[in-house]
Amino acid sequence: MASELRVNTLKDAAGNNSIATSFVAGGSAKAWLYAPATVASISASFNISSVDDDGTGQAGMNLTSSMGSVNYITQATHQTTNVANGGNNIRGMAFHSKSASAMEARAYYDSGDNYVLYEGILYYNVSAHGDLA
Amino acid sequence: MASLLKVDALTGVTTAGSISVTGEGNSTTTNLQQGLGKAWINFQQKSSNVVRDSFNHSSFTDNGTGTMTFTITSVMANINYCHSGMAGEGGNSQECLSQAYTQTAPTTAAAQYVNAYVNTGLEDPSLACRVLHGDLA
Repeated sequence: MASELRVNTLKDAAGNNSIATSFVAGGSAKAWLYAPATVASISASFNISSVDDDGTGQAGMNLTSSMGSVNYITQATHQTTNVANGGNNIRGMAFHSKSASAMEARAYYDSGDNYVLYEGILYYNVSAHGDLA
Repeated sequence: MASLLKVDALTGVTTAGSISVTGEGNSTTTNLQQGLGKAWINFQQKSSNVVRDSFNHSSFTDNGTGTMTFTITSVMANINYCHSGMAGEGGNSQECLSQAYTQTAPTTAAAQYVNAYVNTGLEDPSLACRVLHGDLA
């Protein structure tokens, strides 16, 4: 039987480790993605309806349940082939755009003072925290 | 009315591993288990290896300059989990923490990271943080 519990605070049975349910909702990731750099598929995800290949090193992600605004935070880390000294060593991630229902992460490498879009990473790892609509 | 629930475990009724939580907008729901960070750590590799704080981590290994392995206690269900992390050290602003998949693929229990800067090498970070999202075993 489905059920609904309305409560402001959770504690363990001993009365310790108190946490307000607002922290449960507010602190939970609202979306995360683990996908190959080609963005041809999704390996694992939560609250991601689809991904788009927006070009070299550009991964678009669409949310199933939208955020309440664009003021949510995003993090991205990549899994790469190797990190040998020299040559395209710094491979960074940045977010190019965000809306309440979509975001686009970009992977790049550092070439002097220039940042070059790069698809040589293996996997995108992206997560988002913030308020749901 | 304020309320307080004292409980040691939460389990879904329809599906044990799935509990819905109403989101901040008071209409959309999110999944409690899927949204929770399954492990996190705040770590220093520079000078001496120090775990400042962590959750669900059992050990770390210093694999050499700028290279470190973290091992978790309750393992993930598979290797398709999401890594998020960052690292920093002194004035070298272009630090980048990576999971070097081909060098050392992650397992359900452990993952190795490298911290690189400005195309010239690896460096021990004073601060390295990571959080994992995905399915627990």
